[in-house]
Amino acid sequence: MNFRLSRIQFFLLLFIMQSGSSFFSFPSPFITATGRDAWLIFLVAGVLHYLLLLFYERYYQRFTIGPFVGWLYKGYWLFIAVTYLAYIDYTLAVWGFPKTPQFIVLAALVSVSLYANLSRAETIINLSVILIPLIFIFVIFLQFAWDDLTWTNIFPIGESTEKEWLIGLLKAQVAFIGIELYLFFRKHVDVKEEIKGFPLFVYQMLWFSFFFFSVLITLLYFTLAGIQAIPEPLLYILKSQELTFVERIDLFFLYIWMIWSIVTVTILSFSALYVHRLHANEHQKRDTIIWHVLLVFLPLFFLSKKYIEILNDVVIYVHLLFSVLIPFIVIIGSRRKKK
Amino acid sequence: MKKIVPIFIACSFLLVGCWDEQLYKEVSIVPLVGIERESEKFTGHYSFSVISNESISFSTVEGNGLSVRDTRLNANSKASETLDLSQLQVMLLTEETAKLNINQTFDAIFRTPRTRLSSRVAIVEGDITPYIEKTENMDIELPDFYKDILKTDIEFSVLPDIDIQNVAGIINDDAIDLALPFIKMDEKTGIPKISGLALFSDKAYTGRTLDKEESIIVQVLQKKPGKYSMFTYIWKKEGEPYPLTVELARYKKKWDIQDGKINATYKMKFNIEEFPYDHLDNEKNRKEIEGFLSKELTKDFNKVTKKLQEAKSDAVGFGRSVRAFHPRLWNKGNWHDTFSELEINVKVEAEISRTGILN
Repeated sequence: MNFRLSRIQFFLLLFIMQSGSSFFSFPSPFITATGRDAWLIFLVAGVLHYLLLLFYERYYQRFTIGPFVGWLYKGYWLFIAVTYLAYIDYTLAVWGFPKTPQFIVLAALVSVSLYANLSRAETIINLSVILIPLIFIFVIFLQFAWDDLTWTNIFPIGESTEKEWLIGLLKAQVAFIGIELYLFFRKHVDVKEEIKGFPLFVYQMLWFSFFFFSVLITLLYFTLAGIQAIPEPLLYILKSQELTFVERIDLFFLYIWMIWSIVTVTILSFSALYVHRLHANEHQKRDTIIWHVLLVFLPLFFLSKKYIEILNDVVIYVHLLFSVLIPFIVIIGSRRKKK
Repeated sequence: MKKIVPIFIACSFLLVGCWDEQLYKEVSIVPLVGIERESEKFTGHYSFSVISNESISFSTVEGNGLSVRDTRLNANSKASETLDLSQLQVMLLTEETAKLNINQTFDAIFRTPRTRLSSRVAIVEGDITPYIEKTENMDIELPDFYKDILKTDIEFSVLPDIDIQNVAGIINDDAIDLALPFIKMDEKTGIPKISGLALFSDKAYTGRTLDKEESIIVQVLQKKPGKYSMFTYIWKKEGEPYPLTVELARYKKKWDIQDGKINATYKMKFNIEEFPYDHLDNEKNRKEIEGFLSKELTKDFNKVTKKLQEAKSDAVGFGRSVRAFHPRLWNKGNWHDTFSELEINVKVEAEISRTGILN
């Protein structure tokens, strides 16, 4: 598959992938596991994220994969997509569409990805642009909760134990999911455009600010006991806002999140099919359809609270394997081959 | 084919409306609910809208059950249409209901996505029945009546500006206690009236209340007053009484928290609203009034703080600062007990910043 990315397209692709798969689901389990020090722990997690980006930037050219590793990544992205689709379908069933058959919602979500992936690569790359104004609106509307924030909620600091820090750093990995796309698409960025140094730092700060804001606003709005009772704190904050022009602002953002999810699933599918075509270039249309059929049917097996929780716990460890361990092994392996 | 696929996808999104649509003509909107609880038995009074001859009136239906949701199911069978709480404006609870853990009463409201979290909550004295029935003296419908009287007293700092969502936040916070509007029946008019605040300790109503003047002080202590905060005193000069009404313009609070002691200082600037004695162009007179206000307000603020301590109800939220910055004091034990035993001194320093268009 031959395509070129500008620096902005590349970072946007990465940002949508990282935020879309976890933004709403991230704050509650992270704060529940870490307590009042969640914001401090996320500061450290932010440094780790930057170090990982620097590592990727330095060695991305050595990340060349064979069919076996390619199949591993396809399996990984299928797992991520299924986990994510099951989660959003469950949330939509609770908040918005309790009576709608869940396979209809799934089919509607996945069908856009099918259409985009049957089209040219540029369609998918530019699809993320529609989210830019929506993300801004989302952040602005969250500011309406300003009067209800209790700043003393983030104190006292330093109460978390070593174990809580460790669990916190693990839970923070949910916000990293999708970072591995850097290794796959970095080489498609126009060589004339600089990534190293300041542009990469700007992306890091953008990612960090976005997730840090979600952690901070949740901590300031809810008590620790309250967060434990509410699985979707950001949606809940939006639901509690009283605006003159819209009765249920949370529903409005549920639809934004749905679009966000659709774009994320499209990018995930694009990545998996991109890797697939590196080693199997025949029957492109058939393989694209099979992939999307799997995306509609596999999540149907995990649409209960129990399975959603299991998948959300497991995804952290699977992510560490595919964003840290396997890239590390592949990069070291390529270095030896070169020698 | 390429044109058909996007049209098909776009149309598929409209399908979700087929299953989850709810038409207004098929439901009865409930803007006012009254809940009574006796041990494990709940009774819900649902005031719902009835549209006839192009005008809206309200009717009430009662339901019994083991939970709040159960009462609605029971009431549904008595009403001609399904009761819908998505437009709920006011929820009334009896004193007996509030004395039990109110988390259980609110659970169905918090859990269901369709309920409105910006609805108001109030505690009523005695039985709920008279509060849910419109009397002849009332010129507007009951849901609007409650909504309006609550709104007015929020503006005048008598009541805190809290809704069901804020109630949830405070219930789950062990460093602050709930104080909800307390409504009584006016013996003369037979119309419900707001009498002040009902004080909670932990998650239950203490049975103690504050009157309207005391309630204003709680909002000011908390530094969350409404649009207007007014105080009226009688000032005497040469044996002659003069009414003095002031409006709080701006103020700063400073809490000095030590082990076992809180010194709270409030520096307040006031506008004079009424003072027939006049002569406020004279600085000596102004100083005298400022001294008088400082003394009276300090006395009243301390009296209210004492009442809160006696009720073990930290409605001001001293606990939030203690929890954040004074771990030794916070970890002494249950905050409600610690709070009731603290030495709290409130000092008000009043300053007149505006005298009005008359001196």
